[in-house]
Amino acid sequence: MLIEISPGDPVAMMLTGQEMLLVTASKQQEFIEAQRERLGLNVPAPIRYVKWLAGVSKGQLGFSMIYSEPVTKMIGERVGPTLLLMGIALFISAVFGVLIGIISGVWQYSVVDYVSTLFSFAGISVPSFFLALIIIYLFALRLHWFPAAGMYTIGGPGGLSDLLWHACLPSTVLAWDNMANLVRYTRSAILETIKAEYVTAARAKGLSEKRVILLHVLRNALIPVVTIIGLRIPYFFGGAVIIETVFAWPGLGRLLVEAVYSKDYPVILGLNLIIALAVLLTNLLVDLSYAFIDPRIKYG
Amino acid sequence: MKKTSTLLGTPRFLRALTRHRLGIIGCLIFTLFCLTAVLAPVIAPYDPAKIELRNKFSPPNSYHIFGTDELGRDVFSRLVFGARVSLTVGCLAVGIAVVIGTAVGIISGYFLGWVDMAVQRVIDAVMCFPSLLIIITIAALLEQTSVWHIGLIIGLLSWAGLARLVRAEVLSLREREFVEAARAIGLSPARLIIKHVLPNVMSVIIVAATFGLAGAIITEASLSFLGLGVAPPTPSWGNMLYAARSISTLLSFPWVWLAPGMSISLCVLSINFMGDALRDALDPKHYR
Repeated sequence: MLIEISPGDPVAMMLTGQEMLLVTASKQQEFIEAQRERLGLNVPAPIRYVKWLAGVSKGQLGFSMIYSEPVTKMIGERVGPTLLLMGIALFISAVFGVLIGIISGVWQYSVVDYVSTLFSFAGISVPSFFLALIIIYLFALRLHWFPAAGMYTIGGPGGLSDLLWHACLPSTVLAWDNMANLVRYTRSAILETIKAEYVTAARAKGLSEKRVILLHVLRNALIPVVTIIGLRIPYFFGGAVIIETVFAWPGLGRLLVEAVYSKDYPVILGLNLIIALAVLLTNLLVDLSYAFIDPRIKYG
Repeated sequence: MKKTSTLLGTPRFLRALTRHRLGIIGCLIFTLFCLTAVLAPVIAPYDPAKIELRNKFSPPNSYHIFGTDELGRDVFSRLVFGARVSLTVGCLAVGIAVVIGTAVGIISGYFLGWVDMAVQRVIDAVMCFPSLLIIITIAALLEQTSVWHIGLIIGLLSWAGLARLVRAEVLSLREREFVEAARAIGLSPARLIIKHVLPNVMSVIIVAATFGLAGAIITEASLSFLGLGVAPPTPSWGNMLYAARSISTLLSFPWVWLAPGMSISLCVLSINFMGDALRDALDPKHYR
């Protein structure tokens, strides 16, 4: 499984080396020489990459070229806000997505079903940054219900309530398209399960409709839904890049965009590595959680 | 002798397709966008790059129906040319993804063995990583990103899902009687794949390509919105929204960002409607 980390990264680093040479060659020669000496850029790219790997094995990700701070420290400072945002978004999208999906699956062709189908189409079609702009425009700039950007009120009292108040808009937007996907997925999982023979059997032996749905349909239909929730976590990282940039939320995504603007390669590389590890970890946890949810699966 | 199970082109397929009302609406709107992109120089009333600083942030009026932006450029003309960028990037990306994904999927599913093992691990690796992050990282490495660069990058990173769908389809196809019969009469693998396997995976590919087009357009817009996509002098729906990242523009001049945002949403929505109609028409299991 560790092999899965490698794609992209070595290639990226090779390109990075050449690119840095290109960027620097266009500037003043002397300054460049000194800078390159300091940053260790006078060493060929492959050697630098091997050195970087050696550092990684010892838990070091190198130093930012702009802030001269350890990359691990910079990432460490930004992990919390991103996890908070992703956690709230995951919670919102899982609860509402699955709930709406269940309702529109069980009562197919009801009003709720039509409305939710319409909304989930909108959810996958309206790009998250546009939705973010609309929401900022309406709820922050026009109605003044929520703050438009940042994590805390500047010069304000701070604290948890202030933080959550600031997290409302960004996490809602982050949850949005994931929720749309979950609604569609839950709905079709339920529609498929309702047609299964054991559901007909359950009805035939005279169980009430409530018992059939709760004990037979939902239990079986929601197993794949849990998987999907887990497997969609990586997409939150992609979404976080955009949402954190729009809402000026000091998390990993914004750090990546800043690093890309300033071509701060050690930071870009370190972030990619950390996110890849996080994604692998969630995938592993999703795999393991099957065994708990679905008694039919056993790991020998 | 009818040996294919594909529904493409059959009367039943056409009937199912035309009965899908949202699909028809989607198709009409999408055709409109395509025409706009092709006929951009004819439709656009002004040069999209013409800067008129005296006339900046002019609200929508009879001269500029969607107003002008922060440099006094006509928003409507830029939208029209932006359609070109979005659709070019989308089609290029989907074209690349379809070619690679189909080839890899068929080879992996038909030959199985170690080829399949290796391909599946590569697909696992590509699919588990959020592609937007890789795209951003690669875009950061390029000095100047053109429409072609972006299309190429998105295409090269989005074939994995399609390859997996095609492989699953091929796996079930290769056990079917007509493929076995074709093998028995001594067809070469290449001929067998082209004549008998490919036509039968077409429906899967078409549906996936349609949704892929929607995804590619959103990805391009997101990249350009972050300032990492199509470089500014070329108008793209995404980089037109880049201007709205300043609070004052967002608040005071909504037409500058509403128009491109609506265009992206409407275009992607129409493609998704089309994809939904195609899927319903091509997949009998999915009948509603």
